[in-house]
Amino acid sequence: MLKSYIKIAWKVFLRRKFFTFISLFAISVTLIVLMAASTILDHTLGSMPPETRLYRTLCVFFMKMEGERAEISTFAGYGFLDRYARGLPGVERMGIVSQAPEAVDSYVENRKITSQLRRTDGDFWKIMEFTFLEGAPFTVQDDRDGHPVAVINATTRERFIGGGSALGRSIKLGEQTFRVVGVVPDVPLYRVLSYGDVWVPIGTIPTAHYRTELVGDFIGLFLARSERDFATIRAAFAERLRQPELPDPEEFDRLEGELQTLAEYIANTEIGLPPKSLYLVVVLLMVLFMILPAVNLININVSRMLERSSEIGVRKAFGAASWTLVTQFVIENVLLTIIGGVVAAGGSALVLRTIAESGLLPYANFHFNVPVFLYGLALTLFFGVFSGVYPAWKMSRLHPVQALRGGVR
Amino acid sequence: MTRHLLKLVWNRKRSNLLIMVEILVSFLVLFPIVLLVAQGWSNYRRPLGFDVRDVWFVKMYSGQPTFAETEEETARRRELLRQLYPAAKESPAAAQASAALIFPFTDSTFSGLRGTNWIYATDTFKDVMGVTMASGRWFQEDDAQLAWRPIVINRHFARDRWGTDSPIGQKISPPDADPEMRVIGVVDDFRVKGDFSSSENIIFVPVNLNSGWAPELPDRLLLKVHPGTTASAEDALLRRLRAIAPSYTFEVKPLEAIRDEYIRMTAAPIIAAALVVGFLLLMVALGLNGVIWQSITRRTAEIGLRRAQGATVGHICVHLLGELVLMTGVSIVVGSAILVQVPVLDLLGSFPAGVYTASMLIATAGIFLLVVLSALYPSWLATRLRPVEALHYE
Repeated sequence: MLKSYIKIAWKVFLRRKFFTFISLFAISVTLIVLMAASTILDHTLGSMPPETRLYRTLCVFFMKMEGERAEISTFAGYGFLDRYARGLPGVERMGIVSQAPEAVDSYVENRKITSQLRRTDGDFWKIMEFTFLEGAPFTVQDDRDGHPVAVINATTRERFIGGGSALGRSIKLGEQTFRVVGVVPDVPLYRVLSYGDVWVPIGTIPTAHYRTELVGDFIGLFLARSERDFATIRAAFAERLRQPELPDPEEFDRLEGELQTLAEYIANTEIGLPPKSLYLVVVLLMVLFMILPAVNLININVSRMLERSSEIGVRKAFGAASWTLVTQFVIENVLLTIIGGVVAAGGSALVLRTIAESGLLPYANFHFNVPVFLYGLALTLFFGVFSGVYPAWKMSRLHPVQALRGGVR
Repeated sequence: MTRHLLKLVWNRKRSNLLIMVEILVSFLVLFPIVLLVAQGWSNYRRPLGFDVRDVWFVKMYSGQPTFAETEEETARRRELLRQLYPAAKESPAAAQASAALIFPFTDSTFSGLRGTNWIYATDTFKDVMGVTMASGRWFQEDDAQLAWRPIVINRHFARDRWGTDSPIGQKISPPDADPEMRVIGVVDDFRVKGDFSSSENIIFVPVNLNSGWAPELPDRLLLKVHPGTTASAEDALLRRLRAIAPSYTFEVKPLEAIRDEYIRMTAAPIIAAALVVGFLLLMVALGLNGVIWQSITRRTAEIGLRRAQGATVGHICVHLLGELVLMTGVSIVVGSAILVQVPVLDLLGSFPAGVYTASMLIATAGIFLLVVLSALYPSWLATRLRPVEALHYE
C-alpha cells in the first residue's frame, strides 16, 4: 500500500516540476532555519566536550546580599563557595570558575595578542572532561599554592609559540608570567562554563581580597551523583546560605542565591522567562515560525487539487473511504517534506559553517550529532503533517461525481 | 468596480481567505525587521556627538569590585589615579589626556538621577573626545573654587527638562547632590551607547583629582594620540602605567576598535534575521505565484467569456490584479489594526512615532510590491489566451 502511495506521489511530483520546486524550496528554507537554530541551542545547552556532565551539573551564578535599603547583586563570591558550600549531600565534586573570561594583552615581537583568561580551581578539571593535546591540567595543590601555571588552547599555542610543543614554555599575560602545563583543543564561546583561551589557578590572583568575599565574580559548579539528587542538593544549599556572618549587619541581613542548571540560568536571567519553561518556549517559537511556511504550503496544495480531481473521483467511485485518501495525501506531503529535510540538512550545515567562519562566535565548531538529527527528523515530520492535513481533508471531501467531471469549485 | 471585485472575491471566500491569511502573516513578519532596520538607520545617520578617531581608552582594574571597597582602599585608588593621570598626559603618544567614568558603546549606565545617564569627566574630556558645545561652556580647572558644582548636559536633556527655555544657570537637585548642581553648558549630543542608540539624557559631572572633587573615581584614562600612532606604542604606555600601579590590570583599546566591535555585534543578529525574513518572503512570493497561476487556469472559461463580450487584455489584467490588490488591502488593514495595538499597549518599549509609522508604510509598500510581482507573470499568461480557445476549455 505504502509503496503504491509513494509511486503515485513520485509521479505527481514529476508532473508539474515548477510547483514541486516551489514546495521544496519553501520546505527547505523553513527546515534550514529551524535545524540551524536547534543545532546552536544544542551546542550551547547539550552535554558535550568539555562539559560532558552538564546534565548532572548544578551551578550557582547570581548571588545577592540584601538589606532594608541596600542590595548588592552580582555573582557568587569565592569566600562563600570555598568555606560554606563544600560537602553538600549528593554532590560528587564541587568546583569554582571565574564568571567570565577577562581580556589580557600580551606583546610578542611587537605584535599585540589579546587572550581570554579564565581562572579556575583544581577540581574544575575533574568536573569538565578536556582532551589534552599535550600535558595535563593543574592540580588542587597548584591552586592552593598559587603556582603560576597555565593550561592554554591550541590557538593560543599557535599565537605564542608557533609550531612545536608548548610544555614548560613561559608566556607573559598582562603583568604575570605563567608556565604552560597543558594544551587543550579550542573551546567555543557558547560553552558558557568553560570558554577561554587560557586557564590559570584562582590562587594566582595578586590580591587576597576575593578569599573572603560572599558575593563576587565566580560561578560554583556542583556535580551531582545523579539528576535525582537535585532537590536534596538545592535544599541543602539553601541551608548553607544562612550560615555566614554578613560583613555589615546594619546594611545587610540576608544572603540569597540559587542552584540552577545552565538551561534554567539562561532562560531565567538572560531572557527573563520563568525557569523550566525554556524548552516549551523554544518549541512554541518554532511552531510560530512554521506558520507562514505552512500556510504557504497549504495554499499551494489546495490550489493543486484540480490536477488530482479525476484521480480522486475514480478512487471514491470505487469505494475508497475519505480517511484513506487523507492518509494518502498526508503521506505524500510527508514524503515531500522528507526530501526537503535532506536538502535542509545539507543547507543548515552550510549555514552553520558560514557562521563559524564569520568569526562572530570564537572557535565555533558545529557538528552533526544524533540529538540534532532527531530534532531535525521530528521537525520535518511535524511540519509535513502540520501543512498536509488541511489540504488532504479538503481533497478527500470532493464529491465523486463532480470530481470525475474535473469540475472543482 | 470595487464592489464588483468584492463580490467576486467573496464568491471564492474559502481559498481567498487562506491567501489573505498568508499575506497577513507575511506583513506581520516583515514589519518588525523593517522597524528594527529603520530605527537603527535613522539613529546611525545622526552624528554621535564625539569623534572616535585617534582616541585610546585605557581601562583600569584595581583587582576588586569598587562597591566592596573600604574607605582606605578608595583613598588609595584616588592617590594612584592622581599619579596615573599625569603619566598618561605626558606619555609621548598622547596629544591630550583625560580621565572619566564612562561605559562607551554598551548599555551600562551610571546615574544619580532617574532617567539620566551620568558621565564623570575631567576638564580635558571635551578636547579629547571632540565634543561640540551648543551653548554655554565646558568645565575649567578653576571650577573647583565654586561653591556649587557645575554640570554640562546634552541638548536632548535640555529640551526634555526645560523645553525652549535656556537651561544655562538652571539647578537640578538629585537626592544625594551636595553641593547643588547648576548647568553651565549644553553639548549638541553625546550618544555614548553607540551609533544605533537613540539620544538619551546625559549629564557630565566634573572630576578634579587635585582638589578632591571626585565623588566617583574615573575607571578609564582617555588619550587623544597623535595621528598615525600604532599599536606598538601601547606597550610603552602600559609599562609607564604599570610602574605606578603594579597591582592594577590595564586594558588599552582604540575607541575606533570598540566602536567597530559594537557595530558588528549589533548588526549581526539584525542581518541574520533580515536574511531569514528575506528567504521567507521569497518563498511566499513563489508560493503566491503558483497559487495565482492555478487559480487563473481554473478561471479560463470565465476569462474567455469576458473576452468574448469585448473586454480587452488590459481589462482582464486590471481585473485579476485588482482582486489581489483588494485582498492585500484587507489583510494589511487587519495587520495594521494589530500592529497599532503594540505601541498603545507599550509592548516594545520606545520607538519614535515617526519611525513606527514610516516602518508600517514601508512594510505595506513591500507587501504590495511582493503580491503584484508574484501576480504579474500568471496574469500575463491569462491575457495570452485566445477567447475562442478559452471558451472551449475543459
